[in-house]
Amino acid sequence: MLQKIIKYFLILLFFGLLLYNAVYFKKISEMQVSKIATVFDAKAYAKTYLLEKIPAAKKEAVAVSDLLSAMKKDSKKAFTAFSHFQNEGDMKYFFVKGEGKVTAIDEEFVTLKTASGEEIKLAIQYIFGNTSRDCSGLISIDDFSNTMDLNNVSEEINKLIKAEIVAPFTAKVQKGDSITFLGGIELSQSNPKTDKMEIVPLQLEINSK
Amino acid sequence: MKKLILALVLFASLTSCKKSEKAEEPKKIAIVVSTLNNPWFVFLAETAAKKAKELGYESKIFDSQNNTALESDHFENAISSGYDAILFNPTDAAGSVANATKAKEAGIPVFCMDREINSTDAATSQILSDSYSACVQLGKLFVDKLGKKGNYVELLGIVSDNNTWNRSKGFHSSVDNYPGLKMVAQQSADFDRNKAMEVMESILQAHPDIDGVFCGNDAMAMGAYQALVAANKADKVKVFGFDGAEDAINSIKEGKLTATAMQFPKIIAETAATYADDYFKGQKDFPKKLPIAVEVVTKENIDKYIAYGKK
Repeated sequence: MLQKIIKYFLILLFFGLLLYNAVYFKKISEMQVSKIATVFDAKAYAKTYLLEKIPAAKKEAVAVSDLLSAMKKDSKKAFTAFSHFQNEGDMKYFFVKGEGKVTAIDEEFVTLKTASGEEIKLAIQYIFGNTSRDCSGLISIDDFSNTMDLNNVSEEINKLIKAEIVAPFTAKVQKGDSITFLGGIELSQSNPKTDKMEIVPLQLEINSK
Repeated sequence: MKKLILALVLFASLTSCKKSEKAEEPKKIAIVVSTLNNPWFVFLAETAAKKAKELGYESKIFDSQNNTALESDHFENAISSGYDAILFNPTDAAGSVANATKAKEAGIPVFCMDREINSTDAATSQILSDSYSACVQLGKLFVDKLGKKGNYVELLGIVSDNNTWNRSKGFHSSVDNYPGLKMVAQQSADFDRNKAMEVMESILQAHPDIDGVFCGNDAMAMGAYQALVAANKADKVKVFGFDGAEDAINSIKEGKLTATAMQFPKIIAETAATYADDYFKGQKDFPKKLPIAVEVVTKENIDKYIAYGKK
């Protein structure tokens, strides 16, 4: 009799262990929430970056006239002092601010003349790449679980710039307007062509006349 | 009682003997590579092995043949065989995370080379080519060379690899701004030269009028070029690759391929082996992801480059 009890107990124990936690119930809504939480929202991240973090970091931007004179003096030192980047490659990025008067408007650019006489080109049509993401130094690759998320952020920032910064600006801007801007510049360290540089706008304001 | 003491003494001497043997043995590094059916990865693996040897370590190369299950076997083998570090070129950004985690749980550091895994903590560090940025530049060049208009084809790499999409997205972030450029076909050829040739042959039957081909690596660019030669269209169509492999560099010199993007597998492999050495010496703090810059190579600047790197 005792042997039978032990036998049945062992069989029960065996199946108990086998089936333990093999089947469990969870609400679908809970599963969906946990799945959504793991999906990175590049659009929301880009929006916070462009519309909140960039304006808050305005004082970190270098005045475009100061950057240009530093480049003329010693470009190597200027790159060390002002550039930001994600990799140790040739292309580096600068977070700049400035103001100027609109001298020309075409399909691709709004051209400004600063008080110190420099001609600045603000890109309004072709906005792509990592300039907008990397110029400020506020975004680090280590904040992302994979580089696709990091690169999606660039795409979303560029889309937002076109929709929320450039579109309302180009609808209003006229030759002769006085403009204040925050922007990003990409320059090659080995061959910095400052005369051909384009500024990717991150914030644009038309000052009252 | 005497017997028991004797047994304990014998046991203690045996274990101490084993410990000192282990301490004297050079550390072993496993180099697990996605495939050795592509010269670029052969170069990556052999450079890592050479650097490991220079640093005083034994190493062995494992070929995963682009198969995550085989890669998993290699990891189990490396863990059970007592390897001290793994230099890892993964087959699958998501699927390979489990393998790196397994090694981490066994106390073995993993250093990813070139290809990424979708995790910031499974690997000790990931040394990666910045494919997206390079393809933004390559896309700009593509737009210029095609004169902002024309039909083009894109050959993608392995669809589960993040590099495939980083390259494609970087390229499109430039090219899609130009409505005159129309992508008539986009297909995967798995980073494989022969498959690229077959895919390109069938695309050319449906779309004989193309002006450019963008390929996610040089092996596919060479395959696409062969298909274009066979169709007598090689002079008209501009072919772009990615990697900086030997045959692509030679082809650019000869005016066959238009451009490629030079990755630096020597830097990637040597950094990974050096990180393993630093780890053995006690360093535990490494950059989670270290992007390595990639440079655009054309006929105009080809003199600065050799296969897999700069002169």
